[in-house]
Amino acid sequence: MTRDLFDIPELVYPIAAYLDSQELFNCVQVSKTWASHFVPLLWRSFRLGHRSPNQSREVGEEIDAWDCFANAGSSGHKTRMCHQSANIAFAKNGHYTRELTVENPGALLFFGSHFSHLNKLICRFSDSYKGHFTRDRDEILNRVWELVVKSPHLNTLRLGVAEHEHGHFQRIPWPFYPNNKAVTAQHLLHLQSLPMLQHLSVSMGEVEYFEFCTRFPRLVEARFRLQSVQSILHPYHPQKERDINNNNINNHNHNNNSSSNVNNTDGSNNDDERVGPNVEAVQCSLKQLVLEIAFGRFDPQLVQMVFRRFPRLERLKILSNPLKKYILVDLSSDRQAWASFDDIYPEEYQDVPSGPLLALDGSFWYDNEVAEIIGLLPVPLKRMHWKRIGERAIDALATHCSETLEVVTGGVLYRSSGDYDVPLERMSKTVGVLLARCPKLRIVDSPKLMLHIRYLMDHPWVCCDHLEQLRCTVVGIPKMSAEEKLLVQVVLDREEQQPQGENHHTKEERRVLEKRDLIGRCLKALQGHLEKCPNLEHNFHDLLVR
Amino acid sequence: MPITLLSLDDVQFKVDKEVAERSILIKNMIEDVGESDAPIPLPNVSSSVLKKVIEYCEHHRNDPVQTQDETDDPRKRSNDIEEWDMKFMMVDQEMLFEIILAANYLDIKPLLDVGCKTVANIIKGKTPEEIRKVFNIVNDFTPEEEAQIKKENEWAEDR
Repeated sequence: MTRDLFDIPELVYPIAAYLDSQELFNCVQVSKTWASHFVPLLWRSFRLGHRSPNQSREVGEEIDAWDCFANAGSSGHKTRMCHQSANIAFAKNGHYTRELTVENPGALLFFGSHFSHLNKLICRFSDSYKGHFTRDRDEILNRVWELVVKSPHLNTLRLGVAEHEHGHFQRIPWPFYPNNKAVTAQHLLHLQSLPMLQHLSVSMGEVEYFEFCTRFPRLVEARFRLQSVQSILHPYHPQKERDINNNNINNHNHNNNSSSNVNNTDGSNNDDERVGPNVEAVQCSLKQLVLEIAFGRFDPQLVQMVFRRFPRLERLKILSNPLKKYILVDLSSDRQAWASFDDIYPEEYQDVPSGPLLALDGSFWYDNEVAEIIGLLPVPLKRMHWKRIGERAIDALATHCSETLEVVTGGVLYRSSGDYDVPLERMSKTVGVLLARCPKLRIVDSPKLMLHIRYLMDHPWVCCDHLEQLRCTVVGIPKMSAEEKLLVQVVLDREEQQPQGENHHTKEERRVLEKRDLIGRCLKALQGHLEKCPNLEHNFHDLLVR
Repeated sequence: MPITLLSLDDVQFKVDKEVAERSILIKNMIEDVGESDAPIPLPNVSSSVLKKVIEYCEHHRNDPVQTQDETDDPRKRSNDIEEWDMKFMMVDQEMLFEIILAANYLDIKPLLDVGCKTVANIIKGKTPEEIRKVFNIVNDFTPEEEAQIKKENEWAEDR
């Protein structure tokens, strides 16, 4: 007689892990023993979605079962039947649920109370879904907080608009909830008692997020949506606001160790002196932070401030909505080691080796901004991804990168038009500096790297296969005009006729002779490199032939 | 040094230490007791099953040790079984179950995983009735109970 595998609960779970809910549902119907094993597994991960077609069939053809819960006002017969049957089922099995995903928050009004042992709560509020959330928002939010308070083992909490969850960040306009910030902030303050919380994502309202993080000893991943950078640089204190209810919020002092007496009535720009040195590190295990900024300009100082504040932070992503740009800083040495980062990394970076990495995307990154960010990073960079690296950024890289820097650009390291109109010589000089600083520099995907000949003259030791790999084009050897050539010829002829005589050169003659000497030295240097590296690109074939 | 394993029905198997240590149970045992010539008794595993398990361990002797990947995602993929493993698992159901039980007892995680994937693949795409038939299970629900359980749990079926 075979021992039955399905009599041993500890073996049922690993098998069930490979089954989806429909398959689990089939298993539940097999026998009483199977039902006892599979019912808890079926309910373990539960989604309050927008529709449940099965139930619709059961109750009546036209009714959308979940939809009717979202609509508190409807009280038809079918709806009542639906409620009744769901209530029985949820009351019986809701306690098996560990992971609850709510896409239809209206349903919480009816069934929220049945889920009592959650580890993971994902609640997607959608403003647009038939207006349900907007209508019963406060009531729904109260249910959410009830759920949270009832689940002391909560490990993951995500509260956000639907778009946020799907990563369609850039395409959909930001929902703006006027006047809700105090409510949300106060509610968030209730979350103090979540000792197991590791993943937190909140995209509503404003609160002193940074202080907030310290409340959860195990927090490793957080994601916040902010109305503006200001809310970080000048944190919002709900407690304080209640105390000084009648005063103007803009004038109150910040009561903690951050900078004091900030007047941000104008909502902009004098941040630079106020952040930075005054930021103190907090005790927090946070490793990954995503900030989404709804309004206002991006401030490079934010990067520095965040890393100062959270000494254990390894990964920071800031998305700045108005200009549709983002920055990703990853300092982790082992990228796979912890946490999920599905929507942190764009797909093209998934296979990139670990190591301090800076990636930028979107337009509107100014060269000096990028340079400032590079300069403010706490460790030297190993990789840098950006479409357009300008002169100042290269300068900053040259001082702040590790010796094995790899730069991945979309193809334009040097651009001779538009915002990046950098004098050729200066650009190629900074490339030279970068090369001298990072002998193992790899530049991926840049067809237009210009290298000034002067750099080759100064560094005859530069490894040439390396230059070839970089696809450098050598530039900067002066060329002579026809008149200059003629003048040189005249001077040379004269010297030939009077070899012993004193040669009095005019100013112009001296200039062309010096130029000729320079060209000679340049060509010699180029020749030297060409011997080692025949494929080195340059435009001086005609000069070399002579 | 080879290790001797003793099955339930008193058959001895000599295997390399490296192979035997694919089983965490045996590995821990060797560490605890120290190396000795005495055979290691495995009173839960019959010789026919142990032979299969050793075959698996021999084939996978050089695999890197699997790291614990306790991912958050409870739904895993079961369609990534290697070809050799797939062939290895083509046995009758009794043997399949015995291998899984042995893998569980001997603590051989990769073998247990492959076994569970195989069973999950058998379940996939089958109606309750077909599942009963495959695993030879008697339906002990009354029609009312069956309707009841279906109704209650339909809510959790996520389509």
